[in-house]
Amino acid sequence: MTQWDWLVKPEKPYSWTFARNVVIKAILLFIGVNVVYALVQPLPWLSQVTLYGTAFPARSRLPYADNPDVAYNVSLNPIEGLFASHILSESSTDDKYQIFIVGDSSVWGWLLDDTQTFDACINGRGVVDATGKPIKAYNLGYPSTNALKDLMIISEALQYQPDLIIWLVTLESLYDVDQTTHPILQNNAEIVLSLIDDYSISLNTEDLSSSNSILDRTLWGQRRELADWLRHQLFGIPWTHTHIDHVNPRFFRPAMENLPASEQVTNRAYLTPENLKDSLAIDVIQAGVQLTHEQDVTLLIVNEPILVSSGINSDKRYNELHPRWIYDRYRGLMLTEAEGNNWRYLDLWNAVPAEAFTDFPLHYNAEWTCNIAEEFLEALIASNLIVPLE
Amino acid sequence: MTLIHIVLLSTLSIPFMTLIPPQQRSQGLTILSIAVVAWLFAEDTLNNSDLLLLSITIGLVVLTWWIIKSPESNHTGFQQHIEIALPLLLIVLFGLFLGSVSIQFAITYVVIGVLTVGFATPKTAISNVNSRQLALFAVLGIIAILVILKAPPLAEISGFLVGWDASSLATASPLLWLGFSYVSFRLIAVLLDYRAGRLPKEGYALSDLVTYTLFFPAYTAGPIDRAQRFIPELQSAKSFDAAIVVEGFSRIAVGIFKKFVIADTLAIIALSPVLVEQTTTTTGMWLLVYLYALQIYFDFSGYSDVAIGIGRLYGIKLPENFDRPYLQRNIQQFWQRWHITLSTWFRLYFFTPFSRTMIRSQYDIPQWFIVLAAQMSTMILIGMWHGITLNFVLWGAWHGLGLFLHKMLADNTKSWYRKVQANTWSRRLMAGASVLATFHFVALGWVFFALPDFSMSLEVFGKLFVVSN
Repeated sequence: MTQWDWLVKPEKPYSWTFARNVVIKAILLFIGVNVVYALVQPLPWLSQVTLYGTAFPARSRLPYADNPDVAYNVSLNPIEGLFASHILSESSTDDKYQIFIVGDSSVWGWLLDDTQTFDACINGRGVVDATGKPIKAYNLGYPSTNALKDLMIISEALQYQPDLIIWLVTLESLYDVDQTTHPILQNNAEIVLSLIDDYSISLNTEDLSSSNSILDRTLWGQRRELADWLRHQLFGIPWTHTHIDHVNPRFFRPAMENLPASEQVTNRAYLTPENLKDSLAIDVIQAGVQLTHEQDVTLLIVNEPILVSSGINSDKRYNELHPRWIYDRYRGLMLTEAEGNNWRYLDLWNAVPAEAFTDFPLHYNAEWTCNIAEEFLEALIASNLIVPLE
Repeated sequence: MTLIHIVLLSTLSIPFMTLIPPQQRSQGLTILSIAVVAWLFAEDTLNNSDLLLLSITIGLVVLTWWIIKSPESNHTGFQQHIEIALPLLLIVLFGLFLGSVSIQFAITYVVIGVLTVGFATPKTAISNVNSRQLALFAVLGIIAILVILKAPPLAEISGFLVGWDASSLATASPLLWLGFSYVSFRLIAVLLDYRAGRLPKEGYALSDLVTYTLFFPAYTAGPIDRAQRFIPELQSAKSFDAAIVVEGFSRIAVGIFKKFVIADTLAIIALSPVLVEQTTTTTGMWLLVYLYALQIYFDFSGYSDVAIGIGRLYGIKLPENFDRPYLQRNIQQFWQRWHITLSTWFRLYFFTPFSRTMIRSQYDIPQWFIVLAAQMSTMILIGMWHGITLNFVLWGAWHGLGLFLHKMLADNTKSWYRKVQANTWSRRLMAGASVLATFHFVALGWVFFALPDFSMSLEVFGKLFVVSN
């Protein structure tokens, strides 16, 4: 008896009626499952189902990968899924002072191991808060320069009761035309639209409104997200036994120090000194200030370091991203907003020497990541929020 | 075959089987097989070397057909030569139209084609003995091509020589002769059966032999059928009934799920050179080995299911290739259920004749040595069929040794075994332990199969058996 006897030796011979009925039932089942799925929309709660923290150790960074198969990591879009596998999900708040660090790829640790990021530096420093509780820092960076994305992450992170949030921002993360275009925002449109509405953020929400068609709500429409969720669970196996969540290439193209002569931002020729303020979504940062204030969470906003070149055309540009005039105006705007709205604000724009940068004007090496983490701690010590251990 | 190939070819079976009269389906399958194999060769674009390899493949079939053809046979084959030549000519024209085939190649191709068609002339009076010698030379020639393809250094040289496209002349690339491992075994089987007198006296029609060799569902990865079974199946005109549709599509669906869902998912996290280097724990390494064992089973058996299912849709019942191999109680049973057609082929064309030769030898060879030599050499050859590298040889030797030890153990523990079988609990315990032991033996053997070199295999064994967390 072979394993296929059930198929090739049926009790009753197959008929065309049988074949037709199978096809019809399959089609009806497919349609039915998709309709039920579209109505129930299980993806948000399914994204919270995870093997991390039980079968596999939790991850110390939000899941993200350009090349999943070698990084053993997947870029998940549902915000619930991002947090489900994070070490934050298994933390308890009672016995420690929790610091969440939010920002872009420089916070996430591009080209760094998860033992070389800001949170790892702070956790290795051995400091306590003013009441003597040990400090525990968590990495909530996500590799995208987008302030609205950061705001969304902050709003989700508040349920884990941070004591302090350090939010790294930069000019690149504030262009208003880009705020709603990232897939992670479009895939969490409801949350983002709610934040925009609650805090009266003035942004064009067209990209968010049109992102949820009927097909997008079905099982078929969300098959990519479901596949990513499943792969993310499977990657727990190599993650557990290799501790690899990011591919660090041996060689990379260093950030440019000899720069083009242009004094415009690439693809943003519309920016002028007069319209710069209106082109930046600084109200997103203000929304973050309000949001954290409502939850009685301290927020430290940091203007993150950028590469300050001394190469060709460095008199016109700081780096490949930032012409000098635009970046200087941006800094001025930020200082004005910070003073006017009583932000806890730290400007570290030129705190990292050019030679410490890696592949991008916002990414620097492990040594300087820890040096910048020291700057955070110095600022917090100066505010009497934390004290160093002797 | 990709998912697109599978879906299109499955769907095509419906108009094929409903519109083409049963009596003409074998010709239809000949033309379809040539066209589909050309499509599989082409991948992105059909170029000179793809066409050349396809033509050489068909040329080998023509040669085989001519060798086995009886001079008195009425398989003059002219019409069949047209059935083969016409699709090839259309493919060449298509390639010319796309610009991927050069005009020089097309002209050379036509000239060679005309010469090949010359085989349509009746076989001159050549004695059966000479034909049998020709068959042997043909077998040796096919084996020589197989060796060249499978031995990496030789494959690189041959790739350079055959790289007609100007862009590829600058670098030597391994010759990628799609499906030749299976083509070679089908043709060798026919030639050896001819020598042994196991074929019909009149031989086979050329188009039938082409279809047998190039049958598209089984072209790239088997099953390896025998002409004596396949060709009568091809000739028997079947009505397109519900059983064909249900069995065919069901089998394809199962195969797609096994290969594209389970196997392709497991491939991400199964044993691989990269993961071997990155994994430091014993538990992790064992997981990789287990996952690879599952991955290779689902991949290969899934592909066989698809092939059998598509064959069924076109009215051909291909032989089974897998039957719950990991649930078997010893290595001998495993090899009766893993890649069944390959192990059957080797048993028929190597193991049995080789053993018989040793048994009948004038030298008094001990029985145990005959068993050891036959099993080791068979399994090593199976390993080398996959690739002529040390790791494939070791994989074959691993299984050869396992088969030998199983035979010795089984022969010497019969009375003890009967006692165990007499009691229900000991029988069940024995069955469970045997299945586990066999699975682990096979899984450890895959370490050689999956990795490119011996030192890496040793590294794996080191991590498996030296506890490290």
